[in-house]
Amino acid sequence: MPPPSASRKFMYPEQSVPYTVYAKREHPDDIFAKLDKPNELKLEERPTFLKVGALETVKGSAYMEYGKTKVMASIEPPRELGKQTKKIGTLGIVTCTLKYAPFAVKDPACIPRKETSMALALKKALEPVICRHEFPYFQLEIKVIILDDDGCALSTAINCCGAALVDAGIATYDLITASTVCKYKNVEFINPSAVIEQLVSTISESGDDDEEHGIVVTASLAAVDQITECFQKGYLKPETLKELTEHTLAINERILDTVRFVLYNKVKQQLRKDKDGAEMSDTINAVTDLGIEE
Amino acid sequence: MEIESNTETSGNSENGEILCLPGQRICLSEETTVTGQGTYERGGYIYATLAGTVQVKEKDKCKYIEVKCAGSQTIVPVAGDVITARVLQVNQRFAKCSIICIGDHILERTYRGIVRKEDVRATEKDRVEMYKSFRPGDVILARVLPQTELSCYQLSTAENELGVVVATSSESGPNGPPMVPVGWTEMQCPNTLAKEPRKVAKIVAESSLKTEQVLQ
Repeated sequence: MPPPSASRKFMYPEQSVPYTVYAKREHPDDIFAKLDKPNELKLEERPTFLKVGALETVKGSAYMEYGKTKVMASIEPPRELGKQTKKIGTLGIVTCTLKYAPFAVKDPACIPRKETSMALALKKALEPVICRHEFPYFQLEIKVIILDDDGCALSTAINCCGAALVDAGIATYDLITASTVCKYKNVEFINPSAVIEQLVSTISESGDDDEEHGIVVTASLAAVDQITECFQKGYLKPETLKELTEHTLAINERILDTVRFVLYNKVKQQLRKDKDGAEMSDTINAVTDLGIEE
Repeated sequence: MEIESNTETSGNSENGEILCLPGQRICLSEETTVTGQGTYERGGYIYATLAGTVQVKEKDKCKYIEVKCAGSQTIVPVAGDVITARVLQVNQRFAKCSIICIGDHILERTYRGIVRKEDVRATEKDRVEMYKSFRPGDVILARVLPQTELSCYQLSTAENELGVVVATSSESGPNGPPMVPVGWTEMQCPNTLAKEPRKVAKIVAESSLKTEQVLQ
């Protein structure tokens, strides 16, 4: 459960059930047959929208749309650790809270399970990138809400948090980007949609053990050439895993361009604002000086 | 020393200022370069940790590479910082305060701090009386001491420039006019002319405070 302050920040009805829950379930193979499979492998990102400083009320925030997946991340100013906390160390503690909006996924029953596992993966991905020695004895709280999930929710959340951290003015070693790739029935899907992700996670019941199926999320730091988190689910051979990871890294590189562009624009905008503010105060000072002389 | 600026990617210089993002390589790390705020050194290079502008300051034949954050940076008090705090509670041994500013940076969230009786002033430490030094509601300048206790910042006002800056007299209440210092240990209310004891700070320019640092 998130702290009470989190539920106050993101208000939505807790009790709501989408109509699709009552619809008849199709067989996984039928769904797969209907999917349009990619003809050729294109290592590209989805159409992306990223806005930093989307929320006014928090220190740092970012809103990201990755295709139809929509994620909002917010960062709270560092909080002092309570007296009871026994973890004494010189590194700050990072806590991640991830919440799904009830309307984000078709099956609300899986939300709590997804929330905990994704929050853990998110924390693991973000911890190495934050300069934690700058916040000794402090707790940094990162909150994410997934407004719409059409696959790649974890990687989008990582991308969004990376941008929000920079917006909050928190020292980070690098920019972090992440992407998702999955394999199902020998077809590789780049940036899988929610339908494919669902298929991949349900296949284990069919009993076909030899078939490779799985999902790989990789978060990487480009400048220092590090992988902060490699999240893998399903059954994959080592060679396939290597190949898929390389593909995610290639997509990460492309997402990084978008993130860089957005952040540079933000810095430029801020500098312009600062300059205008400085000019304004200069004028005010000049006017008041004149007034004193008179 | 040459500062790398890959202008072709996004034209990252504006009005002669070099912009940078976290993880961007700024320059080679040499004997004469010092990694300042917002940078770190790795593998012989200096990298940025903040998004902002690169600034190079020369001092004592060394080049201090710093990154000035665009917008407000998230910082926490560290030992040696001069902070502004509001006194919440005073008892015979210490005064509880909440830290509201570090230097000229206003904090989003206040942090707890205490001034112990022995850290109020530098001389005659044994004759300090807490009630004659601070009152609840006073705004004080203090320096952060090296942290020994986990839950709380220890503060010191044992310098001429540190102590009570803004205070109102107990008669006119919290909305009264700020008192005027009339000595090292006294402040006077401009309305009632009543004098009250305080550990008064001598207000000086910020630059003269920054140079001295607490030895850790």
